[in-house]
Amino acid sequence: METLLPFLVVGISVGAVYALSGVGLVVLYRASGVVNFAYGALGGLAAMVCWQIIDMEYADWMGWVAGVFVATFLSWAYGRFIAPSLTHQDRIVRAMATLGFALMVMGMAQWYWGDDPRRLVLPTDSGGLEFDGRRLISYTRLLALVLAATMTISMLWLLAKTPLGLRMRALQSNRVLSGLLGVRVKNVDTWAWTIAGVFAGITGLFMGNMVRLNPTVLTFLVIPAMAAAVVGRLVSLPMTVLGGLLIGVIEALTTLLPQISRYGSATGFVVAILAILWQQRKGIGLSRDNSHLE
Amino acid sequence: MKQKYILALGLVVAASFSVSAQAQDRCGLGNGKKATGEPIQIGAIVGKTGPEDFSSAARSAEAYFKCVNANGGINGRPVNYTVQDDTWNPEVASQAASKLVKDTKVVGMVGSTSFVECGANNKMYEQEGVAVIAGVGVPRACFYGKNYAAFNQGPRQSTISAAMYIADTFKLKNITCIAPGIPGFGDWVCGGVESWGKANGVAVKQVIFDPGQLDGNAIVLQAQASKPDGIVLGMPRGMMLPILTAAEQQDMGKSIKWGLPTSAYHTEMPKAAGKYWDGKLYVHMELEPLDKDGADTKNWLAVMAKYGNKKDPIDSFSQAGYLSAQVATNAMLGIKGDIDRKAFFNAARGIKNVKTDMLCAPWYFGEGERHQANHNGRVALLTGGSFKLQTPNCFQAKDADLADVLAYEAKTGVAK
Repeated sequence: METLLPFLVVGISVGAVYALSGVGLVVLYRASGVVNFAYGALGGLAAMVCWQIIDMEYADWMGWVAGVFVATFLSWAYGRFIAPSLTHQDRIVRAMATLGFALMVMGMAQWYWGDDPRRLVLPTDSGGLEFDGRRLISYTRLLALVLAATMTISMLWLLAKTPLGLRMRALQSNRVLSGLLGVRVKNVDTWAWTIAGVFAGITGLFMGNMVRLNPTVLTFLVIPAMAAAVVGRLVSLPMTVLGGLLIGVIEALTTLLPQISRYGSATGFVVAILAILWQQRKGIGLSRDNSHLE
Repeated sequence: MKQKYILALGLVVAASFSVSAQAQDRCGLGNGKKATGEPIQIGAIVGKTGPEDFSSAARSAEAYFKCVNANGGINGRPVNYTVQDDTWNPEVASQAASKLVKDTKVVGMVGSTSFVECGANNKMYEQEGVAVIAGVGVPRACFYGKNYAAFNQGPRQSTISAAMYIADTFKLKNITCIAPGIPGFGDWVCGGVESWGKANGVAVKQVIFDPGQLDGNAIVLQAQASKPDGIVLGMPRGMMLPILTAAEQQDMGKSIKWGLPTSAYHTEMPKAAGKYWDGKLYVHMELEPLDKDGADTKNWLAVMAKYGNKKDPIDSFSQAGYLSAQVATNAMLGIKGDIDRKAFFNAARGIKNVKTDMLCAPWYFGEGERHQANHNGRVALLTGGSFKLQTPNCFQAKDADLADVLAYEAKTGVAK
């Protein structure tokens, strides 16, 4: 267990960021019915903008704010100006449109920043909790865990207790009827895109620090996030969090087994496929639950 | 961007760069006349789009060919240089090579650098009689092709050399080699370090990780499990940074010596690694220092300043690309009669004893079954925001796989 403990802690901390990403995807999907493939690209852009601001020797906090703001602004702009024109398109078309948006953002970021070696250093990197004379977890990873928990609970509260959450749940139940009953669909959608942008920005900063500061690499952060969201059937926030943590832990533990360690990145796919198979078996698959979002 | 390079390399490089930027660039015939004849088709395949941008060598080769075209070309004929991106995909690499060889009808390939194209295309190059004077060879296949010769030592030798240096200098006995599990790469690189360790009384443990794995912490924890006194990272620099970040968070720079291959020898690396790693990273250089006071090094910087793009990297890979274009140009200038594929192939195979201040020893293409002419390098320490040379003399990588290459050199005298 002593050998496993550091891997479990590392897995949980990175899984927390997957979970946070998954929550961002699920909140948007529940409100607007759009699977947002641009999530990772926006996170990557946030990390690059943050690095740029800090590299220009502005205060660190200005970099963090600027990064999250850029991701939020672009997500808001997409939700406000592009997504409404696709409302009556097929769900797959709406998802593919976000993929196009992702490729544009990723391409522009890669073109502008290129491939020079860079690191996004956070002040919380240098300290951490010790165990058995070794650092068990850095404060950055601890912060990711705390933020994942706080933001997920905030989202659950928002959906359950606020008028905006009520409207989001109404849209989730039936978009057409909600519109007829006076819910301002476009406004609620825009809020969902804005919230998703905040989530993308924050997770992008963590991933830029914990993984690799490269727009292309960060764009593919959407894969484990999507897998986490699939575990939650794109509906359940707690299950999405559980899925994210599970993927993070399994991924970390695979490094202990040389036979499978080089296939660790397949964890997200495997977990998502198993989750879908399980959900089909129980008759609660995505298609049945979400047909109203067509 | 030029200013960033100057800052990164310090005042010494600043002086050499600014002087060389003003220096007269020398390329090809060097007559200052624009080449206007029928273009000579030359191609390159690079892994630009993907986990890491491997286009640096082709960018410097392109700059050199622009300079050649502005200076009389190849006896009046300009070089038309076409670079294709294989997107790190073997299928795309095959299609790109097929397009260049069969449609564009290139006479040869120059400056290629790719993780996937050697394995995908070596057979076709042999069948079609295409010689590849590559910039940088990456996986094993790039050093085991009859028609493919690169200017670098390769990641296996570079990682072995980094391990040799830290083990010899700090009397290490237990080294961990970390590399990505890319076919023909990770096992080959760390396998070389392990073979060297066995022969020299150093225990070597391999940690081969999934290159798609996002978190460096689990990799570092696995490396830490064998309680090493030294760690070498056999991988592209982009993959190194998450591992260095994770190792910094575990404070592993204090008790463990770190050796990196030449991919870390980049002007932006000291800044990217951060203050924690100052004085802790020993970097092997497959080519000579970027700020070396030599004619070719100065000319390379002058060509890059005048014909390159502001965003072009100034690194070892760029040096290799420059050399590949320079050597190919000289080979083409030496061809009597038509410059076709066969003539280029024969000219390439005839290249030997190329002396340059950018390499420790003479380079050759030669007529061997495989090519690995460069096997000597140096080590620098990342310190004070720059790199400080640690080895006054070049040293040869103790790679058991080099036996056939050394025997060929001794027999033919192609590297005197």
